[in-house]
Amino acid sequence: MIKATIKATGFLKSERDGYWPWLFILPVLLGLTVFTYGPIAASFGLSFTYWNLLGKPAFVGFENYQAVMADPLFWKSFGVTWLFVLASTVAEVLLALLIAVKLNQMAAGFLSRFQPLFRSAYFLPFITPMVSVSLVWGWLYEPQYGLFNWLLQSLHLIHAPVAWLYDPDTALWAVVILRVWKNMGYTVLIFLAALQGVPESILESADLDGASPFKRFFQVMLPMITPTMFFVVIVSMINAFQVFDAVYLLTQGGPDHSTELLVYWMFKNAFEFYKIGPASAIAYILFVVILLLTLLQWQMRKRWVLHEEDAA
Amino acid sequence: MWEISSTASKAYRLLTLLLLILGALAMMLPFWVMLVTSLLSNVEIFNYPPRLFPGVFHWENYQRLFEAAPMGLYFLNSLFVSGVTTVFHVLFAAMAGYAFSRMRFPYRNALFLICLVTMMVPPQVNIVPLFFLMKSFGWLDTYWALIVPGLFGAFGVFMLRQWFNALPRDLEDAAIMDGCNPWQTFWHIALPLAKPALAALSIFVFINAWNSFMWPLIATNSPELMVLPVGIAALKSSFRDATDWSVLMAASSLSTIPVVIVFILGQRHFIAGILSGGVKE
Amino acid sequence: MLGAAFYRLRKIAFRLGVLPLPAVSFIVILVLVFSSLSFTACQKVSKPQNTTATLTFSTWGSAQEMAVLKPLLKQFEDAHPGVKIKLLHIPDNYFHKLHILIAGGLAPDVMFINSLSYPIYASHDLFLDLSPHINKGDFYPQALESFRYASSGLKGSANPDAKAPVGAIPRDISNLLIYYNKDWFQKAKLQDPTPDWTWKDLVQTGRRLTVDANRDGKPERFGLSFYTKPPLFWLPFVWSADGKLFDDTMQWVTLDEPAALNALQFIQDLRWQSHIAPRQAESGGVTMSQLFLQEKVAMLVSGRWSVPVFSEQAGFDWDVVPLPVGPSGQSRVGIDASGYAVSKTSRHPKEAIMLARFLTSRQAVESVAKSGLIVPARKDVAESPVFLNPGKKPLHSRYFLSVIPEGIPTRTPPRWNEFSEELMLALQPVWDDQKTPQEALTPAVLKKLNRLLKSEVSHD
Repeated sequence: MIKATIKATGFLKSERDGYWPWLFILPVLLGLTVFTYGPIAASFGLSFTYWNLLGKPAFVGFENYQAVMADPLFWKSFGVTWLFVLASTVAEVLLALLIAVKLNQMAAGFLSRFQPLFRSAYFLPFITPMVSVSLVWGWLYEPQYGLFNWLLQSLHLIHAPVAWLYDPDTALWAVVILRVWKNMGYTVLIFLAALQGVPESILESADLDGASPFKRFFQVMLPMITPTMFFVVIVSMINAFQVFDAVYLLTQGGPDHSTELLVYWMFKNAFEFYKIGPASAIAYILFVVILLLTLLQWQMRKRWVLHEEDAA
Repeated sequence: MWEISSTASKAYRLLTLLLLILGALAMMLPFWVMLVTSLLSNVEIFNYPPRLFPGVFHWENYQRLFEAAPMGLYFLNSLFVSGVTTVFHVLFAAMAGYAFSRMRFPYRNALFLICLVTMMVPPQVNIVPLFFLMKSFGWLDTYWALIVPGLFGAFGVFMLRQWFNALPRDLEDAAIMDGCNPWQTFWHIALPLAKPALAALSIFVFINAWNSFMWPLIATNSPELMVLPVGIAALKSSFRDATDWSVLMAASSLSTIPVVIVFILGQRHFIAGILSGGVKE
Repeated sequence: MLGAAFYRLRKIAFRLGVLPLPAVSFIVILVLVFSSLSFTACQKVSKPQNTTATLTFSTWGSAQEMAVLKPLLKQFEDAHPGVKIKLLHIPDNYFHKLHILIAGGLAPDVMFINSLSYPIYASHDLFLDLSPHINKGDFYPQALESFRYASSGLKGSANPDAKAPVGAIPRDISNLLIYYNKDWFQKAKLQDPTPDWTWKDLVQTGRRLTVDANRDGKPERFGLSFYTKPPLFWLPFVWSADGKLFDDTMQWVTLDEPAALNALQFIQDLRWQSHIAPRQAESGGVTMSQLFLQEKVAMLVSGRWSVPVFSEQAGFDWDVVPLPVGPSGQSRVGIDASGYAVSKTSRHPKEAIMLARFLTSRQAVESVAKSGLIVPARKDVAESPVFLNPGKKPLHSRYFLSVIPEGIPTRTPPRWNEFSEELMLALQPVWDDQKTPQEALTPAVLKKLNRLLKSEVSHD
């Protein structure tokens, strides 16, 4: 023992494992340094320059941030993005909760062996390529021959075809619906896990009290899964902030900038207007928003994990 | 536990079931439309009401697709890029996760935090500098640019560390007693025990790599290097005014089927993996 | 190089199971860090040994255009056994992709480029001066002028002189005419328009052609249709009114001068006062060409590129006429050119120039012109039956040529992308009748535009 302590004096050397740990973490550490930390620092630097990708960047101070902040289109995009994020998250979380509760009930009944089938049906969109499903939805939304207008018209919900992706009033909602469809399955899964974590003893005692299903849900189950709910809401929001493929393929931010999501607006600034400085500034603003949300999530996660341990 | 106490609740449950089925069907509808449309003729596609079942299967749409774009090549590219990315990504993550879980070394916690923090960085923030990094490496428009930046992820490190933390150490201790070095212990003892987590992470990394779009769009230009999403987007834009929907749907079907297969094969692991730690998209 | 990358990775993946793993991870790291060196090294070593020169050639174009272009490239390869062509066909977002290629140090040897997007690259000195390789008498001088910018920045290029370098050999000219539905004119008992018709005639004709059967103020069919987004579609009206987008020295935006304001007002009125042209909401997601083909508009402002589509799909008789004469007493349209530029970084400049010259040769331009798609920049092809094509529509193809002498060769600032985006944004309320042109062009807007106009590109 004493021998070991004396031996372990080398810099960065582990007492027990020598230099082995460094070998184990080297790839990830090096990779993250080169491909994440390096670029994020560079991006920060670029947000203070004028650069069109050709030539060399020129330092312009805070000009880009000022320009971005003064740009009505940025604020339009910022607003559209928040609307998109909030709308899709609320819809997604509520729907997913409803489905998860129902699926959870199913797990207990005689239909239990069908539950995984349903689970998969709801989950499948989550894993399919956004590019492909965006095209499919582009076809469903097609004003003249698309399925949706036909469905809605046969149900007498609309009287004239809606131009979905070509109408500034509906385009964002069309993307929201696509996003909810694509992402909901994941949220269902998380809820399902949380619901299955609710101890049966609690439910049984509620049963004995003769609580109605609604009461049972709101008074017993919901409080148990609130931490999950926070977690899901924040993860869903963070992901929604990063939506790009669908907008790139279906609307290109239009019509009339109604679907100009921040990531797409940043992309446009960088690779269509060649304004790297403002693009980097937008990226950083986005980064800060997501950073705050992530910090919030980590706070929540701690609570969630604690909760799990309590329950177990 | 939800006993059937009255006809009212029976009816309620039946209704619930019906809605669940309806919901599931609605979720599947776009996939169904995709498959059906990919088999419709150019005339049928403009039928009103829209066709929900194919008449004659027009497989020639797929033939036309392969004539319009080298889909086979895109497919192989995607498979190659996603496959290599998955193998190395998971290996690196397992190594680091193992070290952070089992080994003691200076600055361990600080380094772990440094890894975790990268999970907060939206990839879009990095895209321009990454582009120029690739340029300086001479990797633009090569497989390197498609693969290497995707090999390192903190999520896998985090997930596998959690996994190893939950594993008993007895076997490893025995191996060390037998004179195995840390690598041998890791490779022969710990890794096999982590198979479920590795499978989950693999599927997750594979699907992410298979679906990724923005970076390949920027990092490659040669048609020979296009991955499926980029190829399909290019195909779509090549139609300009007159979109050939049945060919596009054929392309979507082709790119969707492999992930569905991967998912079905590894469904149990994948779902378990997601539940073990809230996967980031 | 591609093969090598594939091979290396495959080898690494293969050995994964065989080698002791620490060694593998070290190898991978080493490869990661040093392969940049090895890559450049291997390029430098392997290239001189190659006897064939591979030229990368980038272009946009429809499938139809590619069907003409590909045999031409094949023909060039056959005629030059030492040269292979790698075709980069980018049908959509071409200039964005090209910009990324150039920024990434992967500029194609020969690039198809148009005069609108030309200045940003010319000002960064990215193109070879091709003027020694151009037989100037072969081309319309307006087309050449579009590509004649001093290669080092904008300075001194206010009045491009004949000796200034030419960065691309023009293949074709884009200019605008009005396409009109002849059948519809006949039904409305209207005479076909002639090149001397005026703005007033346009409005009167448009009124006669606009149909609002139920008089609800929402016409079912419109007399005229035009795009307003890209400036090139509305600038002809400004020029024909003796207005200008900016002054000759490219220092100040002059859109706020009375002549230009009148022209913008005229365009606004076409939609909102006489209402002979559909408003944005009225055309919806359908393109203008589709509206014309569906006989929902009788006249359409468009370029030569519409000819093949209309020839194929129009179920009615149609022809073209120059845009009407404005207050200036002339009808002036922009003369944009598209042509082939050669990258300064090309490793095979000689071969690249040969290719650019071949693609603008009489024979090559003739085969592209046969498709009806382009207005040739070469006089010998343009003024031959290949283009004028007496048997085919449009009957008055020669109007595409007759408007050239009075036309305005493209001049755009290097930051044209930003400039035009800013301009579109500022004028959108005008097209939507929310502001008058004067209200839209506030001092703040003008200041912003002036800055983008003057801004020196080369910050380095």
